[in-house]
Amino acid sequence: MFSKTKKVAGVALAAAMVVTAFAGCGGGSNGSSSNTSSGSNSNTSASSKQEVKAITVDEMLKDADLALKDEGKNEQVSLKVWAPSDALDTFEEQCKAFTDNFSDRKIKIEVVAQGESDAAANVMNDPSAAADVFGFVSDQASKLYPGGYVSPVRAQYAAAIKDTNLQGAIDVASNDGNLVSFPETGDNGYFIYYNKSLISEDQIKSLEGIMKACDDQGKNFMMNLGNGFYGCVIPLTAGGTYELDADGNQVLNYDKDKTVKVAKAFADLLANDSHFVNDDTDKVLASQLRTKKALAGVSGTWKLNAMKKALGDDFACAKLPTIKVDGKDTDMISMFGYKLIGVNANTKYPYTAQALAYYLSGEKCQQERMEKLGWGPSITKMVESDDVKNNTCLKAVYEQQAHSVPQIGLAGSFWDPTGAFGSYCVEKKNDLTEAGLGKAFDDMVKSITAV
Amino acid sequence: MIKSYKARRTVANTLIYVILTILSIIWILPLVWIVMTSFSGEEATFIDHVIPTSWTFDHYIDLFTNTKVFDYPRAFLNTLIISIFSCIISTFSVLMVSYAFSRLRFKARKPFMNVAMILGMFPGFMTMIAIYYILKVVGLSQNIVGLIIVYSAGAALNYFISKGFFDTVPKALDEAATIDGATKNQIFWKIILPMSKPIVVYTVLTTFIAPWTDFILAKMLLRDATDQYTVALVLWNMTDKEKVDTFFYNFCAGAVIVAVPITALFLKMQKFYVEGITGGAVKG
Repeated sequence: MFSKTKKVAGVALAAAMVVTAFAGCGGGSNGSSSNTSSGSNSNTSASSKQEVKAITVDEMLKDADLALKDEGKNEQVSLKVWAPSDALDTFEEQCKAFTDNFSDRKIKIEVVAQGESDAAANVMNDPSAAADVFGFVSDQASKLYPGGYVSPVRAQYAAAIKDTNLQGAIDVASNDGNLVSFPETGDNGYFIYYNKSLISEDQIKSLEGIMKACDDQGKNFMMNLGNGFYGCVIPLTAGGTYELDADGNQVLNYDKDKTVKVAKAFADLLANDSHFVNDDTDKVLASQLRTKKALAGVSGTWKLNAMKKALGDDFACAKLPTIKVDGKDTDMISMFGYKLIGVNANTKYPYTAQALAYYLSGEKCQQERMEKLGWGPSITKMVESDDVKNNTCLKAVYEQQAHSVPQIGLAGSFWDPTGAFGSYCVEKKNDLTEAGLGKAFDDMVKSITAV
Repeated sequence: MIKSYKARRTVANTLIYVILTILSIIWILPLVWIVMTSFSGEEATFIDHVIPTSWTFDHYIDLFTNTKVFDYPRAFLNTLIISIFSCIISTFSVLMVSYAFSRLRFKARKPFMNVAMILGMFPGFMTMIAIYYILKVVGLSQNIVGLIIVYSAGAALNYFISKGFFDTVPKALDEAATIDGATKNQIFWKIILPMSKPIVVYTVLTTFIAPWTDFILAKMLLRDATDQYTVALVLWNMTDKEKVDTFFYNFCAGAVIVAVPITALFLKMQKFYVEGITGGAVKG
């Protein structure tokens, strides 16, 4: 009898311990989530969206009570911002302008150098030690959004952002239809760098023209189809799209027949041409252009300075070429990335952090960054401005942006099989009949979607 | 069949030399390449010829003067501080632990040695996350002091090589000193240590190089504290895909400079290696 009571008591005690342990966790996360949702004004549900009044950056800057609530009135607000090391000065100036604007509040902002391409890992390792406001590249979004590492954008800001930015930028900044980060740039895509003394503006427009110029002059055209980021051009040109299902598995909306036709067009044009080089263009293109071994190649804005240096006066850019599919010139559709600004869900000062991120994503800051750093804007009005039209590189970027699929909704399994398929299509040793390409297509889809 | 001994020896030697030459070329080529590239005056990063067409010293100057994006001199100083301190602390702790295990007889000596041996076999990165959070609690994360503590704290676990060395020093020396009235402490500092220069040198070198070249722990602990970054972190950041075009040659120059303190330390300490170990200390 006695031992039984003891057992029951033991179990009860253990259960109590477990419950309290979990209660501790729950309390903690509840606390932080209520904290963040208060920051975002908890108006993110779809039904209340219409009623929200959009607040522009200028309106936000004028109204400290609206932007910052009580933060910084009595206590010292200190925020940390992560920016790439070569953009540190610009961000410091912009943050200073922000604190100067709210000079009656006690705000201290520290800008620390940290790369944008591995922001997700840096935040996820220890969110409490990470920056309050940080820049990241859209491919990091699939890691940051589901875990709730970024706090949703305040509804009034979100409404204004959605009105003014490129649709693609809004897509990559959103999670389940809610805006969870601030668009920073609209230029993280790839296009053609070419030597304008070797190939004319007309010829660069079609892949057929490019390959003819290459064959005539014995020079190369380079594109890294073996990398999924570039190789996805084949299925995307065929009208394919991608998304993630609720469990985070990859869903591919590819049409096999169309994709095989596009793949066949690539194969017919490129596989037997020794002047097409499927190589790591991010690494070698600049040197190849400089030594005039290549006359054109596909790379992105991140290589701009190297390409300018390599080509000098012959520097020119263009959107991706068209390719003849079924006798019709078809625009190549690419994957397009954006840079975003996230607000750490763990920040102690959600209102100030949101206001700062909103300010940094605003028109004035984007304009400054375009002028000083050459970063392309994400605000539609600016994209259509003369500043962009007169900029060789940005003009090509945005022409390509019009034919692109945003880089969001991608699982880790997407890249390697897509790259393998891209390589398959342009290697002459492979079976490049429709049947062979169809099989390669099936293999790709199978390895991407197999869990 | 080759009959003459001389001919056979020649053939064998030729073969051995060919193999050794190939091996040494394979081994030394990357080093030559990085040194050569660091002096290259080429403009493009990935070139298709090995030997640069022009030479320059600018990358080294740029590395130390252009500190806006990457503060290499600062990182170099940080790494030097970390290495020197952990080297001093680790060397003493390793040698003292080894001496204790070699000379003293106490109750849990064997179990202690086994435990230390087994703990030393676990890879350092296994506990890294725990280390980070513990240091964060004490306020030493993102700080080179934290790194020094971590590097030197576990160093004594690698006692076995120096313990092996101390075991070869004749016990008669200790006994003679004891008869003359020396304490254990005095024996260690005044008798054993001066006779163990090679192992001291070895310990100094290994405990210096480990923090000097470490990347993974520094990356884990320092995070965004860029003013505390070590050389390894700065070099790694230079190869970021957006930076590599601009900083590739600085990276090569930085990588070459990394070898300088280690080489200097080795050259300075090298003469102790050749000195006799316990020659003449005990008469047969």
